[in-house]
Amino acid sequence: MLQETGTEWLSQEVKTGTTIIAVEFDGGVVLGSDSRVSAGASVVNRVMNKLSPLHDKIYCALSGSAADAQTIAEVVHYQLDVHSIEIDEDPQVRSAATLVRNISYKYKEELSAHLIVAGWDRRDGGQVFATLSGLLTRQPFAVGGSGSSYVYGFVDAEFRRGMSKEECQQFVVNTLSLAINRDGSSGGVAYIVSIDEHGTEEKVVLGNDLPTFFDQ
Amino acid sequence: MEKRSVDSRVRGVSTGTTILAATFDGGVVIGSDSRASIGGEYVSSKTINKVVQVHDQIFCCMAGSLADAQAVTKAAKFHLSFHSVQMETPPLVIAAASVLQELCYNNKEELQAGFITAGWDRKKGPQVGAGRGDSHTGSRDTAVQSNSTYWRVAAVLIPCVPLQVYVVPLGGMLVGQPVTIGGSGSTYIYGYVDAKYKPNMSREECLQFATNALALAMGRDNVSGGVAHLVVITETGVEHVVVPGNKLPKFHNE
Repeated sequence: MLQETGTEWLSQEVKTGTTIIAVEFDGGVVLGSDSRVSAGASVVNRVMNKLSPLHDKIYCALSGSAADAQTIAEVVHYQLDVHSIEIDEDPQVRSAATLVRNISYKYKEELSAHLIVAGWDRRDGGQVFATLSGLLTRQPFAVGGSGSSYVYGFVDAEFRRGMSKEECQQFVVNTLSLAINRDGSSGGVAYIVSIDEHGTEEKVVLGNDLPTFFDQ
Repeated sequence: MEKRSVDSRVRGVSTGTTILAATFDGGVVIGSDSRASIGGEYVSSKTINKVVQVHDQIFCCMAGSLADAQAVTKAAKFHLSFHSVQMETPPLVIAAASVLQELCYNNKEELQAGFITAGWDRKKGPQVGAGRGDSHTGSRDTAVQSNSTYWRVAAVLIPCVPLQVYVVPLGGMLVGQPVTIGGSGSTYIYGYVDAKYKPNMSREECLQFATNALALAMGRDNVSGGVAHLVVITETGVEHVVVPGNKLPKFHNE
């Protein structure tokens, strides 16, 4: 048994089989992710923060191949830095999403990562963009990663426009908790990032503090 | 194109589907969508009823290959009616679930099916069980992640005081639970069911819960759709509720 599973994880690609979610509220966005990184059946990192900053008020959520997703985020972080110096002000969320989309689309055969870009800018307030496979679409909320399949029904039923920041945070935590319970590739702690015009707030909800449901 | 059409012919008519069963205070609701598709490309029937009565107060839900499901439920009906004649009493839900389990397990190489069994029997009140027979020996997670693996879900209602539904997942084990879901569309509503199901709901709450869950799954799964067939089984009898497509609950994005 040990012999069989001993070296599999060394040769299998490291994936952030994961659950990520971003939700827009009136005045900002809330992003959330789990923290599990798996290579086959092994969890190689149980505390990875998959919410990566692209700029002060723009974050992206990583899913898919860990290496691909991290690299895209780093490249876009650099490109946004240059861009914001050129325009001499904070970049728009749509610009960040476009940069991510450009890389995802150009290298779509080689890369297998899906990033959700969300943030706040002065022009359009809170925005969430999905960039799956190189498309660019603005949505009121977006879910991604392997765990997202299990919570489509829940988010469809529970999402309402015009939620407050606290309601959004609770919605995100509930969704992550449900997905973690069902998806073998999601787990660990929940990272939550809330962005509005006043600033960015990062929070961690530990495993035992996640909401529980009727069968737990 | 060539390869896909061969696949469709070989796979035959399948019910990529959504099925569920849930217990409430005094009974069980079992329900399904109504779409039968070939290869996920062509809807061969918009109005198929996947909730099958295997005895007076015992129902089954079918998911997976339609031909397999019909053959198995036909065999189960026969076994159960024979059993009830022998015992001189209506069969227990767990008996119905066991019959399906045996059929699934003994034919697991050929069948791709999971059953939800829900019903009401005198001994234990409302119960729900699920069973799946599949040539894959993977766990439920594997089955759920691959939409091409179909489940047969049979709901058998057996009246009993502790509310339980029996599930026979792929491979043919038998598990009793208060609520269970199956079919390709069920992946999308795991979160919803976990969050919204409460034990000992009222009949109306449970019906609403089941209708919502089916509507959400049909909204996300392309091989589930049509109308929602629901059957409510209690000690006093059986009631069919059909919710047509335009009367299904709508959610924020519709």
